[in-house]
Amino acid sequence: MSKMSKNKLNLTLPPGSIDTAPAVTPSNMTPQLKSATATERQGLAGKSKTSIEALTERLEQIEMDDTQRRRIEVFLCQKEKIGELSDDDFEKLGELGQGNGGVVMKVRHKSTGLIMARKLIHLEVKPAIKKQIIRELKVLHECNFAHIVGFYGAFYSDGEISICMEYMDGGSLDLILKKAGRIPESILGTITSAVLKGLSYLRDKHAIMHRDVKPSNILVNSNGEIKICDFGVSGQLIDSMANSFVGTRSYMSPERLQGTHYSVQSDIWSLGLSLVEMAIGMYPIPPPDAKTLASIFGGQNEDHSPGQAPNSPRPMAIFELLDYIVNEPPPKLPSGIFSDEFKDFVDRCLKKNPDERADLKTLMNHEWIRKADAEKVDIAGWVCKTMDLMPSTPNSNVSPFSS
Amino acid sequence: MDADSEYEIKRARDAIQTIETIQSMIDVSADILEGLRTQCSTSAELTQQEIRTLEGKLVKHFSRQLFIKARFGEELQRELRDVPCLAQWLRVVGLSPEAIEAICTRVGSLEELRERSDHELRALLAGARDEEVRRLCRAMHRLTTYTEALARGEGGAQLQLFWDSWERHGHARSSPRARRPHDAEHHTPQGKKGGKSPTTPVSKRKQNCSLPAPAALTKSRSHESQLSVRPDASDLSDNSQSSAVGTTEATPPASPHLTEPDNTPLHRPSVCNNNATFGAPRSPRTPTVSRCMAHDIAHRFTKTFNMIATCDYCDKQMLFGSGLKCKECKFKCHRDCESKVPPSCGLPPEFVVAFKEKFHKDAAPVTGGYYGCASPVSTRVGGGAGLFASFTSRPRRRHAPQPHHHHTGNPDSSSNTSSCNSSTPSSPALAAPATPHHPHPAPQPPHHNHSKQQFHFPEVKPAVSSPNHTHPHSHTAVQSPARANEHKDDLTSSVKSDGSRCVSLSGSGSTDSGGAQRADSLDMSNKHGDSRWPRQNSLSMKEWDIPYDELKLFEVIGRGRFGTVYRGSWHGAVAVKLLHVHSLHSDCVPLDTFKHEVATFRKTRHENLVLFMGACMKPPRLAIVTSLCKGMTLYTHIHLRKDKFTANKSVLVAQQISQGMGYLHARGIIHKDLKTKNIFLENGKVVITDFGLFSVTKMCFGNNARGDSLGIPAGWLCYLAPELVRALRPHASLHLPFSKATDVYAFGTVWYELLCGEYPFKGQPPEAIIWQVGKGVKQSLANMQASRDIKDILMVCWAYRASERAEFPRLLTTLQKLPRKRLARSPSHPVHLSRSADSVF
Repeated sequence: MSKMSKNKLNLTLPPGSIDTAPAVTPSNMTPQLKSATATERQGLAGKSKTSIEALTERLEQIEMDDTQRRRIEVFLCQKEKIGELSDDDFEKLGELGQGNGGVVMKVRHKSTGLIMARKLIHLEVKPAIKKQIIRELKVLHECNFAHIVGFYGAFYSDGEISICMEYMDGGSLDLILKKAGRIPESILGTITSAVLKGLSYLRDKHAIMHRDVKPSNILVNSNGEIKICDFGVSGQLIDSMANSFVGTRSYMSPERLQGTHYSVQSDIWSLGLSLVEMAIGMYPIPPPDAKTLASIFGGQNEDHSPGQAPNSPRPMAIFELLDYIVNEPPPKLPSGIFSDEFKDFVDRCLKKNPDERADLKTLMNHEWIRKADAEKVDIAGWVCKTMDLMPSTPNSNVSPFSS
Repeated sequence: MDADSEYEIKRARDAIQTIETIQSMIDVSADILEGLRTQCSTSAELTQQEIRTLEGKLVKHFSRQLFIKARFGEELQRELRDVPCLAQWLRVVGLSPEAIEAICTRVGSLEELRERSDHELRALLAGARDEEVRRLCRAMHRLTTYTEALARGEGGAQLQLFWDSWERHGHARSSPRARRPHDAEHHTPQGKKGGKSPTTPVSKRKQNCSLPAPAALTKSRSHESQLSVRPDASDLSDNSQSSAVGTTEATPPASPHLTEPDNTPLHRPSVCNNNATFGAPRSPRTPTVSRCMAHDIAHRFTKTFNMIATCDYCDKQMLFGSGLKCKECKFKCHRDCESKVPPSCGLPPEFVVAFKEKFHKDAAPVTGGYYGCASPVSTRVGGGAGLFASFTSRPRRRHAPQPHHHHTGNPDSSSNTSSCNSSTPSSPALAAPATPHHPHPAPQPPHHNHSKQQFHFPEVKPAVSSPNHTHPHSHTAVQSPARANEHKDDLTSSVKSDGSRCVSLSGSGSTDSGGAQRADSLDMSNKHGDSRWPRQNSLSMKEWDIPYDELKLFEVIGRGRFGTVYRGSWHGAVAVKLLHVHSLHSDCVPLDTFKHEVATFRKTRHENLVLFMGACMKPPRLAIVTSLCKGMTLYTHIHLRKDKFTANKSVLVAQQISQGMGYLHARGIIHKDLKTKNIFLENGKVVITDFGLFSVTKMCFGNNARGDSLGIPAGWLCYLAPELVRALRPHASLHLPFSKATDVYAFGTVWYELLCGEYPFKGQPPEAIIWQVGKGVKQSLANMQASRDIKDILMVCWAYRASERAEFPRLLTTLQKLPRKRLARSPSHPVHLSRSADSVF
């Protein structure tokens, strides 16, 4: 707010115009990426053997365990068989959910029988723009990492961009949250560790920031894999999106809301907010009062206050909610329920000033994460139990025997 | 935190207590008011005075409740959901139980009701008496005014807060002023908002032709208030109010003056036309109450292009091109002033002054009508006749030769020119029935689309017209019986019908009664069959209700949020906007509202507005038909083709937009969705489309919400003024507080796009735009290369407070004042680029 008082007319500069170096904005993203990956992409375009080899080679440089590496190799093999995708290749199986700007369908790739998630984004743009978007999306071919949702391809048909991704049978964390009510701290620790790895992979290897970290963009499957999706890879796609949806929840950092420049630190805020939400089972802005918390964590003798479901946020105008994020104290975990490490982790994520916020590296070395990494949590079992999945069902797409 | 919440709770408790106290005061006042209305003689001045006082008190109470409630958060608001009590308010307003029920089923709270525009209110009350609509609109207006005053921290002591909720039986004192709120679309020329109506010579509504009743003979006062303009066909009882403006008051002494043929200004050529459309002359039984004498002739303004003169209205200098001149009397004024100029055409300047003063006095004293007494020639002015003579004696060139007959016996009919005058020279008797729009030497061809014309002509009976023709004097008498009868038949009309005292001329009476039945039955059918269309008589409705089958649809030329736009054909190339009806529920208000809103568009004629041609109204086929815009939208130019607009071009475009928008606003239409996608550029000429559809389509077809999130179309947010942005909610029906000022804000964004070639807040996510705009943060202009003046326009459009935003006429002036040399290519008249200037774009 001190910034505001100096700026009497409340004028802003477009993001990135002063300080372009650390900030990642849609406008300066694209060229950066292009130059970084142009050669690799050319190699990919042909889908020749060499590209697989090149990728496998690169995979070795990345920190993954053997299982993870093998899964990715299998995925890449399958993908190679598929080749270019088109609308006719798919059979609809059902709707998985509504993503930002589009619907996500569960589909079967007819010729290979692979199950995929196909996100359809309605776009009415000129052919040149379409091409640009498809081109920008190709960066996703190079995002092969244990904690990034696999990408089969993107194409344009009938006014819609389709993005075909690996199908994650556990669904997104917001669906799980709805079913489970809350997510236990130990599970959250493992999830957070995976997300942090995914974010730093994107940043280090591709100079991409996610821009939209939230429970619905973190996916899990019955193998216990945790992957992030929907990151802002195509600036043009973001610009061309016909509709966006703004709802009762916002994970956007205060600095982004204020239109000042922002960076990867912004994703950290979103992660912190998501963690609080998943831990207490409700969106934490405005913060729940003592009574609501008591009814959530009170155990058996909980007394649901009449008329107000403890898990639903109070209705606020969108502006009110955003203003709360900008001007009110950041949310925090209630004391006495979670470990001090977890509380501290969240507090470090939810600093309103992005410079005071911990960065990715610090967080990956945070005690809470180290603890989570050390203790082997059975994510697969938890996912299967929560989502009523058969624990034995391996993800057919990554099973070496499926083909 | 705890201390805070405790304080919160205490504050809330106090507020609830206050609200409860106010509620008890409301209960008391409402009871008394009810008693006054039902148990006292409401014709007594004292009673009326009492009622007004109570109305004022109640408005204040309700406003306070609203105000207090609005200061609290959602939670408390929910708790106080039933305060203020909507049904109670409606009872206080003076609506019938049926109407109250109708509204309560559709509207949840007073707050919600308050956000409805006048035509939405009208739609809610479809089928109710017009008097009720008037009361509601006016009362709502009062409520809003006072609540706003409270919000500003003013006491609003000087505000007039009553709305006259007593039953006006025969004495129907429905003042035009009183009606103005819901009459906004009608733009009575008297109305401050009056638009261009003066150009229409005639209203086609049959009410316009209703026969003035003679009730005035004994009690002139009671009629003075009836100079209203009541184009509504729907309501029988309301006919009484809808009869001729400025006709009336058959004061015999006055008539001699009328024999001067030269006195008759003939603006109004086609009363007979009106008759004709209904096949039968208005019968003597048609319930019509006479009016007092008044001067009410709207000017016929035309733009002047090369005139430097002084505004006759505000006495300030008029700049080149900014003026209007009445074709008839040469009255000159600013375009900005036009709406304020009283309908004083032909009135000598000294009277204009008096008229103007009266005209702008809002509520008139209890005894006088609001409007009637505004006329300097009201009969109460003692020697009305003499006065009248003096002001009508001004020679009026074009009318001088017109023979004058047929005046209805009203002193002021001389100024008011019964339209029959114009048609009768050749065949006075036959003039009416079959010839709707033709043989009148009308100064201007009748335009049916200006149905709001409030100039109501006395009904004229062709059968008796020829005797009158030669004996002007007898005319009064001839008319009398008819009016007397009318009065008797009108249940709601005055008990003190003066009819019995009128001299009846044999012959005329009988002819009339024949027609009377027909006219009446027409009225009735109109009322019952067509009650949804309070403003539309069946004829006019047909004119713009386009059968779907007649439309040919070709390719899709655009897709909007709510519909698909096709190139089509209907008597030539048209654009057809087919609304998506898949989500149209049977229980939503929209169809009525849709029709009403659409009804207002057909009265828009402006160079810079798309021509509205009609609509298909039969669900599931809902479509809006407009002329086909050639050229591309500004959006295409700016964002897709990346065309560069020079400062000159931008200014020319902006000027035209503000002209079109100024016109819309003068008509009381809020665009609600002004954006570059809705502005076409046809060879340099701006054509604005899609006005007013936003809320209709929103209401009809949902707000695009998905689950608990609000769909936000690309680019939409940066057109939304702070007050709109702050009102956005993730769910619930979207009632955004659109206003003229929000249109101005949107215009600012268009102006920015023209200058910068991109949207403000480009590349920022919707949430960020919502927070910043809601907080008053504006797009930085630091990197923009433009002069101070040009940026100032942006700032004045984007002002955080709605009240600080300029209005379109002022913007236009500012745009016109931008340095001359920048406008090297400006054509001889200010805004419109001639066709030959294609090359400019």
